[in-house]
Amino acid sequence: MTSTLQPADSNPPAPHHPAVELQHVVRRFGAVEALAGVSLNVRRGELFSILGPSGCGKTTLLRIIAGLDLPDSGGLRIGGVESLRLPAWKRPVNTVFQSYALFPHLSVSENVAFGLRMKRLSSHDIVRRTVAVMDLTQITQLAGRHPHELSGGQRQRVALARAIVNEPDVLLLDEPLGALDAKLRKELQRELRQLQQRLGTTFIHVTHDQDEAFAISDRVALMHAGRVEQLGTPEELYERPKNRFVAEFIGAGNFFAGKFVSRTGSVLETETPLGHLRIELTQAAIELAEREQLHIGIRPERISLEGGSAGDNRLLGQVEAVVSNGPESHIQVRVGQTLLRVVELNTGRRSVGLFVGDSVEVALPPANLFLMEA
Amino acid sequence: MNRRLPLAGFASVLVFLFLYAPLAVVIVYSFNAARYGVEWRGFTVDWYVRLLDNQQATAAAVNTLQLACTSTFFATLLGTALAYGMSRYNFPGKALFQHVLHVPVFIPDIVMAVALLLFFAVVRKFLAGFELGMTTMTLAHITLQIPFIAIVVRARMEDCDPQLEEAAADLGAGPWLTFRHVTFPLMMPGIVAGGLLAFTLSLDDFVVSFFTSGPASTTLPILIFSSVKRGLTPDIHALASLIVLVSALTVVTVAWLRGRTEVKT
Amino acid sequence: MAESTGATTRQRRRRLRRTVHFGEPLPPGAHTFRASWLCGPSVLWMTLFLLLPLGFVIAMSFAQRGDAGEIEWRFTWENYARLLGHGALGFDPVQPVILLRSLVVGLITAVFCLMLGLPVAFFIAGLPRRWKGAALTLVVIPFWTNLLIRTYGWQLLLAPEGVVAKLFTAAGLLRAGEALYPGWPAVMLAMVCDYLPFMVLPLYASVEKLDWSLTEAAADLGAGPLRNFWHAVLPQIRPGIIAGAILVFLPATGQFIIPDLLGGAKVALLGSAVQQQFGASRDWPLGSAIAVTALGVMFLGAWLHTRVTRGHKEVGLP
Repeated sequence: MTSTLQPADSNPPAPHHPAVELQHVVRRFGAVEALAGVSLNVRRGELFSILGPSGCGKTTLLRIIAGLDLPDSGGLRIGGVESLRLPAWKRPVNTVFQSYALFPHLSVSENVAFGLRMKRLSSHDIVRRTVAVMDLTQITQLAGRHPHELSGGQRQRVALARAIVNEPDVLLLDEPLGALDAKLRKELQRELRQLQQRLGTTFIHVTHDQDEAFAISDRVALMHAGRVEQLGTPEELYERPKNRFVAEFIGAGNFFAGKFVSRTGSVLETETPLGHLRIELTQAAIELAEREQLHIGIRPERISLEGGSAGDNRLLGQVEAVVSNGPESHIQVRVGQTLLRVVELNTGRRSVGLFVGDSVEVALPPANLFLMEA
Repeated sequence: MNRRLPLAGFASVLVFLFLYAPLAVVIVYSFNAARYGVEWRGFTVDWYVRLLDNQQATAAAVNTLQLACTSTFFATLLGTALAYGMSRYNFPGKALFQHVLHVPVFIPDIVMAVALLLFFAVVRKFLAGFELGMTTMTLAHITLQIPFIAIVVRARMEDCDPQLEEAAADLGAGPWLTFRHVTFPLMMPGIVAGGLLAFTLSLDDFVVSFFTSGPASTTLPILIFSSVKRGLTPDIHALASLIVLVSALTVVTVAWLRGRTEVKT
Repeated sequence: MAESTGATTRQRRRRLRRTVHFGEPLPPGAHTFRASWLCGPSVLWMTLFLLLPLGFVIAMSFAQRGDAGEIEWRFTWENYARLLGHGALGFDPVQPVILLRSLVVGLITAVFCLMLGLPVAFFIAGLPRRWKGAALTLVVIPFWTNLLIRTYGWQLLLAPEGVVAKLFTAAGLLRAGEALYPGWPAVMLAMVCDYLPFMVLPLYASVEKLDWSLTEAAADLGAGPLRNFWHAVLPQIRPGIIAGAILVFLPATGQFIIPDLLGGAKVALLGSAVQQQFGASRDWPLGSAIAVTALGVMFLGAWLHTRVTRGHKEVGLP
């Protein structure tokens, strides 16, 4: 059946261009800058997530790519083609709207076939492709129903089918799973990812849910107040957050200030409230290390309370609280004046549990410490 | 809630009886065999049959229908375009015009009627034409109807998700295709409802018609008025009942249309 | 756009200062252009056949009437002076009385409509969901049927051999062979019956939103039904009451069919007076002055109405 749904290379836009390029896009609503100069490239065939708290401008960005809004300044290329002046209906882009925006006066199959009818395809092709996509998204049995007769998850599938049946170069998804309950979300996340890999289409996916973005994305742009704070793979965002906002938005962390002492190659020596710490720098972080004031962080699960190995920063601390939720324990350890949050997997290795008041040796592996811009 | 207010139900029934009493009595008397007076003399449908022979009534009925159909047609065209334009585009003075639209809804019919009477008199003085008759009545009725249609259609449009039109554009439909395949079908129930209401408005209007009609353009309400003044013949009871029936059916249809096509999400 | 020079920024801004309209980038002028051919005809129409005629009425209200009923375009306040009772032979109460009477009739109608409308509004609000629409339709059907016919129906009911008159005769309140009209009671009865739907709809809209927990709290605190209604219910439905009262009051003052058919000459209202001056009396300037007064009352009421219902969903008909 996938003969009609070949990966996008059946109709390849010039392959050396990124799927979508945004250059210094600014969009103001009155005095508010919804987008304060956003530049980013979305690679062909990737699942790209735009992640951020509500009001950060991520939906505006999506609407600009779709042609439903215009920036005050900036540039947009889709598949290498300057697209700002192109009306929405001429862009090789389709959208899955947050509210789904299914046509209430049309049945499910008519909704799915809408885009093909607008392109004046032959009725044979329309039927063939509609049937194929409805099969792919498992909504064949809903063909005759109207949107108000569908559940939230079913509507989501119809909205998705209605968009992908057009075989767009880029598919835009605006909080596609936002209105669904947690269990269904998980299930549909997986399906979305599988679908994307099967079609090979570029997906740009907007969400405020970090778990969702990380579960399905190749790369993530984290937005805040109209700016892209950091762009990278989920691992990069997690392991090497650029700043405190990114670090806190994505997972928990321990943050503290530090003073530069010395640097030898990629090894940085610092003085912090915890004491003297050695940090193993990544290539990108080396320039940050030259600053007077350092912002240092470490993820709770990267701190070891089981001694650690040679070369680790070892500190002495005292357990202040232990909360276990079954699979993992959340432990607070005081080192000097600083309270460190530590997460430990309950692997069963620890023979004697930790108790409040216990003295422990805290190990901070140098490679797990990271530097941030601010 | 009604358990808390047991009297409300009983009182409401009485109020409904009160509301419908004058309509009911006309309908009941249209089946009364008595030729004169209001004494009950037995059941008959004779008056409905005789109505067909009443040339005045048939002429008035033709006038009324012609007037209602013509004015509703033009008012629906104008009012729908107005509603669409106002809900989709901005133009200078839009807010002010919105208030103007409510004027015919609020002002007493009589003021509207004499204003048009005066207007036609002045225009007649300076230009030829505009003799009182079907034309002036049609112009007057269209003026009455445009706001009703525009308000009903616009309310319908405001109920629809504007994102639907964006979705259509996103799916490759240009402005015309979007209008034809999405906007218009969604507006349609509003247009039908507005048109039906405008039709009844014209059908029932007496005051404005009375002042803008000429000798040869008697409508049913004008005929009924002069009959009431002279003393009613029973066939006019039958006529009145039919008019009531048409109006009631129209309103029920509109309500049904609205209930059925309520924007479901 | 730090790297742009001032000129290019301005250029770019001018180029982009178009708005997207359902996927279509529109230059600034396009909005007005499209609006003009969609709304233009109606705007022209309403200007020509509504605003201009109303302007004529206002102009006419300052004109003079010649001896033979012809109109002389000489500015005068005389018509308004006559409305206030200024006559050739000193104080002439005819017009002021009509004005005052209209206001009183409008007010009484509104009060009675409120009293009858309240139970209906509560009743409908308490119905199961699917019956509400039907009940509301039942309320508006009479409104959309011909007013003449309904008024004539009251003539039938109140006629000497009519049902109501017979009841009254049997009760000894009326001599046999007499009708209950023309007169005040008949006019009021028909008025209340006619304008009741205008009251019920906004009342219902308010009652529907009523927060019943407040009345429970009030009952809990020992308020009797009356005090409960006064302190817990009434303040909540006040917008509906005011909106309904205005919607009833306004058209009631301008009514002329009901006074004409059921009231006789003694119950003339503003509407009747306009008709009289434009009809039999052929005093168009005075008639225009009365019409302008009615318009003034209407605008005042409409202004109040928008103030009261601001933020509430407009209560449409039906």
